[in-house]
Amino acid sequence: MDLCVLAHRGEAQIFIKGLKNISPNFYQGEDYAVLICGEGVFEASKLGAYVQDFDRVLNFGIAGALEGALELEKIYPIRTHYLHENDRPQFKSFTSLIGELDCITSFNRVFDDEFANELSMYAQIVDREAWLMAKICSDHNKEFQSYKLISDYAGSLTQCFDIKDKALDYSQALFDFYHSIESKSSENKIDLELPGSFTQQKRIEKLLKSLASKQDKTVEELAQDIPKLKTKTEVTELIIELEKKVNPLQANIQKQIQKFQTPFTQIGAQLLFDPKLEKKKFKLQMEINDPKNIENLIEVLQKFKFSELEKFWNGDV
Amino acid sequence: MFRNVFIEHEFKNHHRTEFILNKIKYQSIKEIDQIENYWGRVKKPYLQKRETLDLYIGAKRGQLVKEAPPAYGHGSEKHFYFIHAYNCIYECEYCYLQGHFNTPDIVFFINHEEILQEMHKTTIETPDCWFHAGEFSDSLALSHITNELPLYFDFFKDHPEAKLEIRTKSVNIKPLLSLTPLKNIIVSFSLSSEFSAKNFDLKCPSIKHRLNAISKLVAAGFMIGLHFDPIIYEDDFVNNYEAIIERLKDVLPDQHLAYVSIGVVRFTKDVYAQMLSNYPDSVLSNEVFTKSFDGKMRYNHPMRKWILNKVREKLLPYYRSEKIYFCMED
Repeated sequence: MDLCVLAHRGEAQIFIKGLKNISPNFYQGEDYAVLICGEGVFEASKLGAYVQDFDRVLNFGIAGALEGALELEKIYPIRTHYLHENDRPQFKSFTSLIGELDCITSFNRVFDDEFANELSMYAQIVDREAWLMAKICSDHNKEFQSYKLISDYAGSLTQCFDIKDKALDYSQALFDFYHSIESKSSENKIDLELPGSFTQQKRIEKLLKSLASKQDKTVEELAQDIPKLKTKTEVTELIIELEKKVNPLQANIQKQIQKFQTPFTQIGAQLLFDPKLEKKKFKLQMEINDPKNIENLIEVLQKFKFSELEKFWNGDV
Repeated sequence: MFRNVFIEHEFKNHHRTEFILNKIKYQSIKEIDQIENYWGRVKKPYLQKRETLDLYIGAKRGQLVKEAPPAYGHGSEKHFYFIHAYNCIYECEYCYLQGHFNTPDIVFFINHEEILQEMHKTTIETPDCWFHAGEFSDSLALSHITNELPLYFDFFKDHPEAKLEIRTKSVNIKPLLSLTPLKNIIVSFSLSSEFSAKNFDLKCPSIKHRLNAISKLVAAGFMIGLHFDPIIYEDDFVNNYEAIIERLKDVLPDQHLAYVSIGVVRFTKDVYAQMLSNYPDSVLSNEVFTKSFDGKMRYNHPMRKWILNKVREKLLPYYRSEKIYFCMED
């Protein structure tokens, strides 16, 4: 469900029609809810109490233009949110990658041209809340979008009284815009229903993604071809199969390692390579409880050619 | 092309600023005191470059010529790089610029005389050193706008022992063709297989066009350098690299080749994180990389060696082995 956040009651008046008033600033509907947070960065922090309960947060509101080319009363999707605080921009920004214009959230209202000019170095639109909303959503891993209706040109020409008079029209325009936004498409999550561990499931997802981009197919198409697996061993085999398809060279490397290991495994020993294959060394582990163990180990070690390992190390795979 | 052009006060009426402004399209000009007070002061998403870019024009301050890291270039001479620009118009998925700077906005440093003065000082101590342009930008892609090449050609004509590498993926060779080639100026191209260029070198000239540019420069008498770097593993790897090298040998004879570097794809931790975030569906994002000897993310050692050996093997029938070297490997 969407949570629409607006700073002023005037902007929100059309949004909240017919919605159940849960608390003085929060309204709940069947399809969406509305939070009226109040003006300013500190007020925007109210979002923190609600954000967890929603799929995405949409901020609608009026804002000032910092460029003459922007059209009054037009609604612009915001691409990146910046913050201006203590006479300087804050480094951290948040982006939705929708739209082509950026918005800088200012702690102070913009009443002079010098300040407007300073802000225009970073963005084309100025508001009072959006950056913090974007941050809260980012912290909670929630999708955030922001849409700004240009009410005036920020600077010495800022007209707060005119804006209040037009609040109803602005609210209607923003509400109509909300309806025009395509409803959020539900993300396709792959559910393979495999018996393996979470790590194995993630590995398979990653391999399928890789294979899909290589074979120009969708992950879903590839997932359909996977037979029903019952055991963890079968899942491991599937991973090996997929790895072979995604990267035959890596598969060869693994095969080569197994070839080095097999004689040791057969006598109950373990030949362990650096898991990252970055260090040219291996560890040999063996439990010895009989002279035969030592004989076997000597025999295998005598047959083992370190030069073969060096060749493998230098790319002969 | 650019949304805002930010110009340092000092360079507002500079002849190079005027030249640049006459060559580009932009929406507005803003005057600033110093580039470093604005550029990169806020985190701008790398992919924002797809829609809008700002341009900054001013002076490079601080260290104008820097010594290159070990294993950077060919030969035993000292290698240095100078910076006359930041950022690039291309969008390669593996590019380290995505995690190196806080902004994709482009900077042109136009105090070339000061840069050249520093280079001159460097040549007094090490006359036969190498200079590299294009550490943080493509050296040729915008050279018709920045127009600094004649200055550098004059410098290297007067400093015949020193060498310059102009590194590029662009085919913007017109500014070069208007100059007389010098033996100590090498134009180096980054190449890969067709598959790799098509999939990872977004917005870059195709391999076909890069080979065509090489051919024209060879015909004009230029020395060429090559970088098969960064190489990314792909299906049918050997055949694909054999195919590009077969085409290469037809346009680039050994006597016009200065060197070939071969390097396998690698990422610093930050660049790797940025790449995953910028290109989550890319083949590159799903490759298995591990933390290697220098902390960078790479393919494992046997795989890297296999890749390097295979490409070297394919180059050897056409190019002398002493010209081929492995880049940034242990």
